[in-house]
Amino acid sequence: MYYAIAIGILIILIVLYTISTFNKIKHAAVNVDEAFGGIETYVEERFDMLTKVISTAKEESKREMDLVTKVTNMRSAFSQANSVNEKVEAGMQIEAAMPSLMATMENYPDPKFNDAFRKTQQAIIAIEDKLSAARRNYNSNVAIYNKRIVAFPALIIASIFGFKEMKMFEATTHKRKDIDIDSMWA
Amino acid sequence: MLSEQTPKIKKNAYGLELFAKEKTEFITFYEEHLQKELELLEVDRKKFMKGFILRIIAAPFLLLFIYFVFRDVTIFMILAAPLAITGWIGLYWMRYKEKLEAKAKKLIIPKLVQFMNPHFTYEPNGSLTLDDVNKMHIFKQKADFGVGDDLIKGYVYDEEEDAKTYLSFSEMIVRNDRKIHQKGKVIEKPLGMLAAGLLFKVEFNKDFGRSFTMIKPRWLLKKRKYRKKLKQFDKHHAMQEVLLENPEFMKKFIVHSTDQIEARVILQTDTMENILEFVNYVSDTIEGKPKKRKKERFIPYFSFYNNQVYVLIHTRSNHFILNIMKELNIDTVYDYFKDINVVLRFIDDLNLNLKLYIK
Repeated sequence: MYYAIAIGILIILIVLYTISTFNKIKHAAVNVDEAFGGIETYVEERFDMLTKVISTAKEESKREMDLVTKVTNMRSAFSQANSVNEKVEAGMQIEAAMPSLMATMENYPDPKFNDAFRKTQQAIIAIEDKLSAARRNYNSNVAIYNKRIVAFPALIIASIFGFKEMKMFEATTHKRKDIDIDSMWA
Repeated sequence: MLSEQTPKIKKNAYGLELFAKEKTEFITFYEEHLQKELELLEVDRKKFMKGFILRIIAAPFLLLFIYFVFRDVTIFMILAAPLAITGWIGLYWMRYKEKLEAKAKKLIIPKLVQFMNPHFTYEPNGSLTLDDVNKMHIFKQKADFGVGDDLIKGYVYDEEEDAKTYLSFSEMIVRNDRKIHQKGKVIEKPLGMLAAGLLFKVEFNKDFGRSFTMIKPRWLLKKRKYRKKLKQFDKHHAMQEVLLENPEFMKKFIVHSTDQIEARVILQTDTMENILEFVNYVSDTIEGKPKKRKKERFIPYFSFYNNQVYVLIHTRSNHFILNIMKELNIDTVYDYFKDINVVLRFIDDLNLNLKLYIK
């Protein structure tokens, strides 16, 4: 009889712990999704701005076509990614490609384009700033989530319910190398 | 008019103009523009102190004399005589101290303010307002009593960047004295003294929308004395804790914001480093001796709101005040200098003269 009560209490405790841990992990996962939503908004905003600037170019030269293709490809790769991890991967590729794209745009020969680019440059920098903050916010939420699912005994519950480690945004070496501060403020 | 010579523009590693002044610059300014006048004022102070000491020495003799002359007249004299003599000395002290203080302030501060930056103006009786303190939303209850003086306002102008950064600061003492009643019962006791020190308001260099971000020292939350005065935020509140990447910053400060992303736009890696540098800086004396500072004597609060940064530094001391018992010399002016320089250093440390993007 006593054994039955003890086992009953133990089962209740395990169930309660499972529910509480599940909720905590789920809550952290929702926070990660929300944080990612913040990134998506700014990435889209950045694409819109870049597309707008490119559309001011007068001639349909090969150079311009290259720019359009580059931006369109990056945009579709990002929006076609299904999971958050795939999107993060696509996002990191965009980050790596951005400096060279910006450099190409800065050296574009069409004066009308240059004028439009100069006008929107401040707005692009502002978005970059917000995007970087959104990425840091996302990383901070991912760190909380990842810590939750790797700690014992929560990792058992996480593996039962299929919670997987999430990917963080990392600064690319390419990005660090290619940014030309002087030209950004020119 | 201060020196006509154009001062050499100092710049930081990013090529931005530095507005805070060096000790050597201050010493040169003091020797050229203040030393002689301060020496004359010191003569006045010594004269005043001499008169004061003479009165102290004369007091017991005067008392004995009064007792001797009026010993048979009335017993009332036994009580009245010491009071009258104390009043006589007190009146002398009050009258001349105020005069001397006003004279010293009038002599030192306007010149010093001009030296610190030609675009600054000084209002001895002006101050920032209670509203400015309450806009920071730090304390559990609003400040309902505030006094302040020595308002300095104006802007710093970086010619190369073509950027004007407006600022204003003053000394402030703020209290919460009003009890909160409900149905005739007191439901909240007043918090008493909230802060006494320096308050400054500076334009921030980035647009952070309508968000509100607040930074306060983390150690305050561990002490009941301070904790009970601070606004607390539960998990349902719009203000949520922001966890940042810099462990040293996180150890020192607790950050709350209505917007996690905007808070990170404000607190970028270098900004966190710069705030740490700003609060860790301890000024030295004019002889170069490092000063020790108790953490209760420098409690900084930061609020970022409406494209302004509000900084309240609770120092528990009266700034821009003259200690009449001490000799008037370069040290006296150096204390004033440090109080003004703290704001300029904040602008330099946070690169506030770099307008990253316009709202």
